[in-house]
Amino acid sequence: MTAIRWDDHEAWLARVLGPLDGGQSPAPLLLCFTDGVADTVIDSRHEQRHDEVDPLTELVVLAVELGADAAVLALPMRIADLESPARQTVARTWMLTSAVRRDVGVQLRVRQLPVGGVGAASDLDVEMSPVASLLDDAARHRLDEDVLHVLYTACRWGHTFGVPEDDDRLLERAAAGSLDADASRGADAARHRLRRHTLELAARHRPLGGWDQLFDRPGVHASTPAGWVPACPL
Amino acid sequence: MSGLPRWDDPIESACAEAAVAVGRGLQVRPTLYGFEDGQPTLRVQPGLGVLHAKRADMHALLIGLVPVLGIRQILLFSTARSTDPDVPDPVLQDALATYGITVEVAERDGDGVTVDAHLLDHHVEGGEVGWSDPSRLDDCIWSATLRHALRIDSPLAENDRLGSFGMAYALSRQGMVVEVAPGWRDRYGFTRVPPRLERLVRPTDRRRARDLRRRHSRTQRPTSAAPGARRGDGR
Repeated sequence: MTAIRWDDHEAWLARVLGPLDGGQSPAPLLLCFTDGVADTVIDSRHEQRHDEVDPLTELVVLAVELGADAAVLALPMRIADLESPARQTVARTWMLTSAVRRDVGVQLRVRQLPVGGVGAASDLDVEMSPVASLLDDAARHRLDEDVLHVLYTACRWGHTFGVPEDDDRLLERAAAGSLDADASRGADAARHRLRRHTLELAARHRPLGGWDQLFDRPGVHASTPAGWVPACPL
Repeated sequence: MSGLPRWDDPIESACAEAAVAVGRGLQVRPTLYGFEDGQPTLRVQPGLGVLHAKRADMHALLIGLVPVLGIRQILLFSTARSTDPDVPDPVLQDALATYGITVEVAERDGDGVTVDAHLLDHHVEGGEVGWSDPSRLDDCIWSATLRHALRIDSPLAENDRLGSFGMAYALSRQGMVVEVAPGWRDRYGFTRVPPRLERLVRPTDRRRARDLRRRHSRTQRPTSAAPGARRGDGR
């Protein structure tokens, strides 16, 4: 596998995700970047009927807790007319929500890949992404868990994660963590904390809500001037 | 974002910030900057939900904090579309419309309020955003709103009983984006947590509100602020 670079990740995603779009039911994909090169890929589990928390909230929390410099979340979307929500899907596409870490929170940008490979990718308002306010919130209220524990939690939640063959920076960071006799107990405690955190975030943002939910989320601090902070601490 | 707006050069700095949205093909959102002695301290912007679903409340939400914080200088820029009323056909009028931004600078001056409004058109060529020369306007979209907000006896000042924290929380839940410059969060009182905070917030925010209040009261307690202070003069 060739390295996926931050500079051209959009072209890479368009190439990889393009053919998957269509009749199948594609799952969200998360890419984490450190020093401009992707070091983790998480393929989301599918949504299930009796989920305690939806997979999107889980992915966002994993993205933030892994502590990468930047992350891109690719979501399969259906395009429908907002004015007449009862109408059928017009088209399918992928929406990319990219977050670059800063001192306080993250800098967000939302892009839409060209539908059916025709045309060029275009920017969207950040609130159009179901995970924008969620990413902003999770980044500002990070739990700061051990990388090893986060990876363990990701597997227990049923996500599939991969690292590049010739690049084990993530595994090195994980191995540097605490591994002692109480390791498994610590990991389960971390998983419990992460679960509680995702439950709370899911209740606040409801990323799988319908189109009307789009207008009923807290404000998204997507382009905060450097050093500035949101006024509301909650 | 390239940099912060400057009070001495409002048009240039508004164009620099608006160019990011224009270059991405997005609408320039109304953006309000509050200044204290020429330094930007507050930034308020409506979210997408306010722009579409709660458009009727947008003016009130945008300026709600101004009298509460006692801000006296405001820079506001927002998207503008200008048409030529001499063109008879409305369809042709729409087709010939030009797009740009309005930049409005308002300041409380003694008992009155002065508002300076300018209109600039933008054009995108090869990914670069260019601006026309600014043309001065007598009255503009936001002028009346800004005068209302900056009046000494502004009726909006009664929002004050909510306090800065309550206003910031309410605005955030409405989908507004409110940000403050470093150091001004405390000075504007956004960290002054009201008593019984849990009862004032939505159920989904209750646990976080409780944690925040506990953290707050722990730092406020005199024993933890100055360890040993209650033991007397150290004998």
